[in-house]
Amino acid sequence: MRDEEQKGILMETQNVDAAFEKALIQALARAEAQPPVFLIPPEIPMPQAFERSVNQVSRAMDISRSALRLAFNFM
Amino acid sequence: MSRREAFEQAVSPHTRGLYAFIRHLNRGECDDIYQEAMLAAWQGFESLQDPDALRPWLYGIARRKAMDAYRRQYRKDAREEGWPAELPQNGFEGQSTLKLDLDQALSTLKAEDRALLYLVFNQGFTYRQAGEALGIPEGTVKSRVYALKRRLKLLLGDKEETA
Repeated sequence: MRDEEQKGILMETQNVDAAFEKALIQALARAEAQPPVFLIPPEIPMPQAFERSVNQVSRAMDISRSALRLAFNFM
Repeated sequence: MSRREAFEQAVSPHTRGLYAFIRHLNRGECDDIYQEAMLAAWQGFESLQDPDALRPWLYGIARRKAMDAYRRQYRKDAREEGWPAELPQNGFEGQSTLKLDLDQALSTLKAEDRALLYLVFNQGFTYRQAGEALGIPEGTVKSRVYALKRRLKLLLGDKEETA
């Protein structure tokens, strides 16, 4: 009898919890809406000459950094 | 399949949930945050190795973009008015003894907590995935979900919880 009572209480608690979670899901879902359209930006191909220039600048910067580091080491 | 098609195919099942998640975090700027998050996802899509990681990765990007928006707003408000921006609401603080309906009770939570509940209950995220998306440990997610449920029940005037 006591076991059955406990089982009954447990089931009631589980039902209350399930009902609560169901209501919670519904309340949280109220934030759902149709998202705005996302347009993937077009990919603009980089001209080869520009790419070469960028590479040269970045190489020059690397060399300058190394030279500065070397100079500081001598100081 | 082109990169564009692959991205659309992978991301489109998640856009609605992602947008709702952002709305929980910051309703006022949700459209801008959504666009920024999608752009960042598009730019980083190729670096994503594991397809199973897509969902927490997407939500993680959205959370970071929402945080950036808060910081921008905070700085702007501080500059213009000399007073910090109102952080995600706590409008019903102090009314915990009153019986509130669930919408009101939810509005008393921090935006990040509402977003966490949305991930776990509505999007079916595991604690681990929710932790990855929100940048918090799995154990913290577990205890926070428990505490939040308890708090909501208290606010709703659940006698058993108050006892």
